[in-house]
Amino acid sequence: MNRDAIETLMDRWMNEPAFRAEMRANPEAAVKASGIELTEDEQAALKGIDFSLSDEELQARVSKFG
Amino acid sequence: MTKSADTAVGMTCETASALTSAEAFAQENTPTEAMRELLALAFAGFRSAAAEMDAECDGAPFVHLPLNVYAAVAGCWEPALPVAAATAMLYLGLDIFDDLADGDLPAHWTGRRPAEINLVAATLLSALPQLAIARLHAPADARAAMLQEIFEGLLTMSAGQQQDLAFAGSSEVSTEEVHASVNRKSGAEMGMFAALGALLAGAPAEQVHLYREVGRAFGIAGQLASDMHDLFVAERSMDLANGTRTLPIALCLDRYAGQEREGFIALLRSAQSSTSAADRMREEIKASGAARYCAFVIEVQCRRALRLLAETATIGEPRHRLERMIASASLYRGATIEKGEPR
Repeated sequence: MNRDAIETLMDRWMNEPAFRAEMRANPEAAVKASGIELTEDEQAALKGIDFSLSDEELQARVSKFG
Repeated sequence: MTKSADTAVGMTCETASALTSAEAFAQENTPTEAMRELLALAFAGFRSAAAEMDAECDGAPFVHLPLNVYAAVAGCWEPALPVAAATAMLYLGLDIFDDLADGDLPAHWTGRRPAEINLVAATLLSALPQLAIARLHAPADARAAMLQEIFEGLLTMSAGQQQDLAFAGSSEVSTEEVHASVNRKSGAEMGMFAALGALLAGAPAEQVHLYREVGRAFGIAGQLASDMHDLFVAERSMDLANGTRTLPIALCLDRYAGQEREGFIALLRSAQSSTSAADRMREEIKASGAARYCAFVIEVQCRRALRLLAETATIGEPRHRLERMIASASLYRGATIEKGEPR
């Protein structure tokens, strides 16, 4: 797993409203345009993530045992 | 997953059977009445937690992971029940050790000395499961391989737990170190459970390796999700109270610098003894975006588990069950299965 890539991605998500909007609209295109290189598993994860969820909605989905 | 008729708490049939079998084995092989009483207390106290895990994970993984892997290779799960009883004992022993380390013992231990509880955990972890494996009706080489799997798994987990304890209260913990610790603790645990099912079923070495890695990725995802629950959802964060350094905290420590970092560390220290400081700490970590980072990492591990599962020969219902279990760790559950690897 390429943690630097995920951290860079999440840093930009947190700090750049325009990038956040691009990610919500089309995450695969936004990542490709950013030049961030993801592994096969990270790309698969990216496709499954619902970037429209707010932080609160995301935290509400966490279960006790995973 | 089948609902059990013999338990009032809604446990699955498989989990109820494994726990009943494990308790009977422990009672039959423990030489003194006093020790049998302590073990009975441990099993009785564990049943509600096991039922809760059954509901949340689409089958408690410490039972359903070895059973489903066995079924994936051999076609049915029933012959693997003694292995699931052994993994249930291992899980229970680890759970008791965790509770002791965290100072978070459940009410059923009230009035018992920590040394006695420690003894129960040690017995469940290092004597009974190995005896159960040694007595399996399986070829000698399969039993030897399973015992080796347990010993190697426990050694790895022990090293992970030591790292976890060493990080407690520290401000010099990186995300890399937390990842390594979670991999050794929870990754190795679930990897071992999955591998035991494959070994009993007589799977070839490369298939055993794949199932171990499926379990490892699932174990990492589940532990990270559980750590998120403690920090973001639980009424009181035991990790903050104990100074445990989980991934969201390590991420903030990695990111912050200068005065911001000093302030964060001071608040972390206060959060160990002050409820209001712990509340402020939780709000700060929530605002940092750490939850989204952790959710992504969890999703990556779930996808890895699904990809590796697709590389095994697993088909049919056991595969669906394993997929659902893996997806239970994801915060994007629906999409994890729908958009997972093609069947």
